[in-house]
Amino acid sequence: MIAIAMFITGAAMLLAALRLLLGPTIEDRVLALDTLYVDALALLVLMGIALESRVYFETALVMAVLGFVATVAVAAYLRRGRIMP
Amino acid sequence: MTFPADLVGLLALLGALFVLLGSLGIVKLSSYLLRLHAATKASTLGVGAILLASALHFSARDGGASLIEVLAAILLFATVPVSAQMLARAALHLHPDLAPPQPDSGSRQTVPEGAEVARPNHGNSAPADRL
Repeated sequence: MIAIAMFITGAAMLLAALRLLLGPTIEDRVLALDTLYVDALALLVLMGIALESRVYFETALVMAVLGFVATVAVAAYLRRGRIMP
Repeated sequence: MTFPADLVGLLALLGALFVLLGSLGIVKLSSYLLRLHAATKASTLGVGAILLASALHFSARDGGASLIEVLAAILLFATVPVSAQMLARAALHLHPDLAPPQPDSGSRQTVPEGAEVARPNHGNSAPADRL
């Protein structure tokens, strides 16, 4: 059942990648990248369950923080033209 | 299949389905703000369910509570709404026509011409000309 969940999450990542390629505006692409980060986190956690390993949680945590910082930085750049206030 | 493994599988499947729902919303919905809501809310719920499944799995395997999944869930639930808010503000800055119409102007358009509408006049003697 974990394998089925991994397949479904992979399909979700493919859909997000489709929006990343298609996206008419730049916010759509940033949103698709943010969703790809979150989906990759879910896929890593599922892989940790399937492989009976806890090594992947640190990767998942780092991925969550990196995705947040990247999205906020790009959003601030789009809104104000610079990243730092 | 034992009880925790069954529950872990069901939670992982449910979470994966919600993640798929969020990505489907990204592809299918028409407006950017709709896509933003679909992606952030459904995907966050799905990842929360998957993290709960992982916490159950490793707690049942090792004995004792597995807390790093709770840390990841708290981190995710705190950061995803912030990034969604920043993205929405950036989108409204770049495309101001994305903003939904104000409730006042929306109700004015549905009133037929010449219809008498009771408006509250809060102690203001002059009739409001900025309707």
